[in-house]
Order: sequence, then structure tokens, then C-alpha cells
Amino acid sequence: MKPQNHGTWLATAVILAALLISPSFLAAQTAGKNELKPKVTVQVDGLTCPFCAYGLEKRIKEIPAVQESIISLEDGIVELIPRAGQHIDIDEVKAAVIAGGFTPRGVQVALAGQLIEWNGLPALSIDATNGDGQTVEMIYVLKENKELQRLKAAVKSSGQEVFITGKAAESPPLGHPEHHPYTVIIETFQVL
Amino acid sequence: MQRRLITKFTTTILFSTVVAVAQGPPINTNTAFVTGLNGSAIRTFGKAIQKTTLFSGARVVSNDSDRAASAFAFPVMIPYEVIPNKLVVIAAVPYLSKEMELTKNGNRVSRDISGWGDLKLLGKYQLYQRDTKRATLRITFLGGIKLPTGKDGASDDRGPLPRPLQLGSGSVDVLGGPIITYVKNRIGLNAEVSYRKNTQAKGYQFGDVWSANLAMGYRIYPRVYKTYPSPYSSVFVELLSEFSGKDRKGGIEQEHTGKQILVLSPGVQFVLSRTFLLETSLQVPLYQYYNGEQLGVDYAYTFGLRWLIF
Repeated sequence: MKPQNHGTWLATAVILAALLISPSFLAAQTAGKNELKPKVTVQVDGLTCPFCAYGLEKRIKEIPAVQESIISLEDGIVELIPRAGQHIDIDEVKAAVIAGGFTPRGVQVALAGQLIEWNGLPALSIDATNGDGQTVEMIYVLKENKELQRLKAAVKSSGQEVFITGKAAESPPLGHPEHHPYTVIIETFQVL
Repeated sequence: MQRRLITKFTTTILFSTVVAVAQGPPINTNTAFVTGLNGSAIRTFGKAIQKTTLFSGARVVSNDSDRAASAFAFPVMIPYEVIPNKLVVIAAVPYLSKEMELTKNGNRVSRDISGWGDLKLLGKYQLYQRDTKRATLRITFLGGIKLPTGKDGASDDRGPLPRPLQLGSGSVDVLGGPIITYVKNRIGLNAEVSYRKNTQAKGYQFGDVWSANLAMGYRIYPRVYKTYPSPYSSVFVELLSEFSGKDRKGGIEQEHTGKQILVLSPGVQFVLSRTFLLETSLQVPLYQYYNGEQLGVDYAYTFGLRWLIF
């Protein structure tokens, strides 16, 4: 093998290593490992005592779209997995946390849907089933950031399914008052 | 008179215990939480009190007639969350078994009674809540009324039982006070102050009662509590104090009534599942002061459970 070939291999290895440790690549890999399941994760303050977590669990179970809940006292978070085809309403979750005796803080979401433009804004459209068994369209406006630009570039055709994770920020000017006030700040994505 | 004082003391202790532990954890001091096990769990426990030492003021004096008193109480408390994370109402009624003995003319005389005591209806309202990550500060007001549902005119073959030995006081009494709870990670601190205003019934009025309790809890297992639910256990150290005024009969203060007492109570609690826990505590008096001559507490212990039903 010639010396210049060693140089090419080395350069390739460096580029690959840089790619592998880049946040977006790691994030996308992480999204893949999480089996791309939609979920809502809420940071819950005051979650100190297991004996009072029962009240929280009871309230969360009253949300029809929630199939499974995982309460982590150590991390102070509650993870909610929706029933197949259903969508968990963030406001409903926050109300349940308050009724359960605690204080909801940041909300992280993992959502699958289609990238669309809604009233001139980038958004994620999700088809979900409501309590009456009807299919409804949920829309989340997506905040402009590098990941959104990368996602747009990665989507080859309209109607392509994407999976995103990110922070659900309460920002009424960007959101949809008729649905909810949450805008998603994309942290990771995967085109399906 | 002496016997009445003894049993009055027991009744007072039992009543205050029912109030003090209406919501736990901790075991004997109230918590400011109004949710979870504190909002929907039936609670019962057995409490035994043994008294054989005669006091005059803070001094132990000779118990010539070998007076003794014992009491067992099995309170049942059912809280119900009326306004989520705000208001809980509690119904509490104790099943009581009391006995007192003394030696008179060489013969051992014993009088006893068993049955349901007075019903307490309590409300617990959360005034303040501040949550941060793995920490919380809460302040609650607990208030209520005691209704004269327990029998207060019982008698045996020696005649009517003394008023304090009766299962009920016959009076309608009110009580209330604040509770503050701070929990951070594995440590919990609880403090409460309460005042009970006793009213007169059939010419007799028990002295009003001030109580102040302080409790520190520490989760001993597991060191890191990851995912709910999983079994855990905590230990508690509590300081329980009570100041009772003198009783009045026909409007006249009774000499051998009223007391000040400070009790140390170590305890342990096992939470076996999300809906069930077991707990036990020992109560050892650190300081006792009695007006006149009265029997003091040797020790008391509790063993109980809480079971979520709603």
C-alpha cells in the first residue's frame, strides 16, 4: 500500500469519527435506539416521596390516551407512552400533575408525523384518533433551528413520515391556540 | 378522683393520637401532604399505653395502692380528597379498650370498658406549596370537630364509670393548627402545632390541649429510589409534646388534672407496595409534669397499616 493511500484512509477515519461524535448524528442514533416510539416526558418538581406518587399515578391513568406511565423519582420525570394511534395532550398531562400534587416544568416530546407548512410556518402534522374514535389532525409548529433546516433538507418528498424529539415550548404567538400553545424545538430527528 | 384522672389522661392521649396521625407519614406527626396515601388511604393501627408510675409534679412518688392503667386503641381513619391537592376530609373513630386497677383493703379492684369512641370529622387544607427538583415545601391547616358519638354514661356493678373512663367525652370539641413539611431527597421534616378547645358536657369539662410535634424521617432503603413503585423503608425520630389545662367540674378547676409531657418516639415504616404500608413506633417519655398526683406514662407503642382504597 502506498503512503498517500494511508493519508486518504486517515482522512476518512477522521471525518467518520467527527461525524460519529457530532451531536445531531448521536441524537439521530439515539432516536433510532428508542424504537421511535412517540412519548411525552414531563419534568415534575416536588416529586420526593413515593407515598404521595400514587396520587400522581392515579391522575395520569385517568388520561384516556395514556397507555403506560413510568415515574422516576430519582430523575424527577414522568414518561407517558400513548395508546396506538392516539395523541397525548400536553395540557391534560400538566393538569394531571397539578391535581396529583406536584408542579410540572419542562416537557419533552417524541412525535411521528409529516413535515408540512401551516399558515406559513413549518409544522408537524400528526394523524391521531380522538376519544370518539375519529381521526383528527394535530399540528405542532416547529421552531426554526439548525436541526429543522437539516430535517427539511433530509425530507425528499412531501408526505414522508418523520420522527422528531425535542422540547415542547409554550409560545402562543407561534403555536395554535385552537389546538394547543406548544411549539417544538427539534433536538433529534429521523426520516422514516 | 385519681382513677378518673388516669383514664382522662388515657383518653386525652388517645384522642390526640388519632388527630396527630390522621394523615401520616410520619408515624405520629402529621404531614402537610394532602395527596397519595394522605388523600385516599384507610388507616388503622393499634396503640397500647401502659401506666404504672405515680407522679407528683415532675417527681415520681410512692404508688401505695399499686394503681395502674392501660389502654388499647384501634383508630380507623378514612380520608377523602375533595379538591385535588387542596382539601381532604377525614373521618376518624377509635375502638377503645381501657382498664384501670388498684389495690383496696388488700383486694385488687379492676374496672374496664370497651367500644367505639367519639367520631372526629377533620378537614385538611393546603395553604402553600413550593416545589423544586426532588424537594418540596408545603404548609397545611388541619381543623375539625369531635362529636359525642361514644358512650358517655356507661356503668358497671360498682356504679357509673368515672367520666374519663367513658368511651366518649360527651362534649363537642373543636381543634385546629398548622402543619409544615419539607422533604428533600431522602430526608423529610414535619412540624405541627395544634390547639383543642374542649367544651363542657354534663357539668364536666376537660382542659384545653396544646400540642406540638416535630418529626424527622430518613429513607434507609433503597439509597436511590429510581422508578415508582418499588418497596422502601424509612426510619423516623419524633418529638411529641402536649400541654393540657386543668379540667373543670361545675365550673371549678380540678386539682389532679392537667399535665405537660414530652415524648421521644423512634419508629420504622415499610412501604410494601403502592397501596400498602406497615409502621411501628415506640413512645418513651422524656419529661412529664402532672398537677397534683397522677399516673404517668411508662411507655406506649403503635403498630399499624395504611391501605389505599380509593
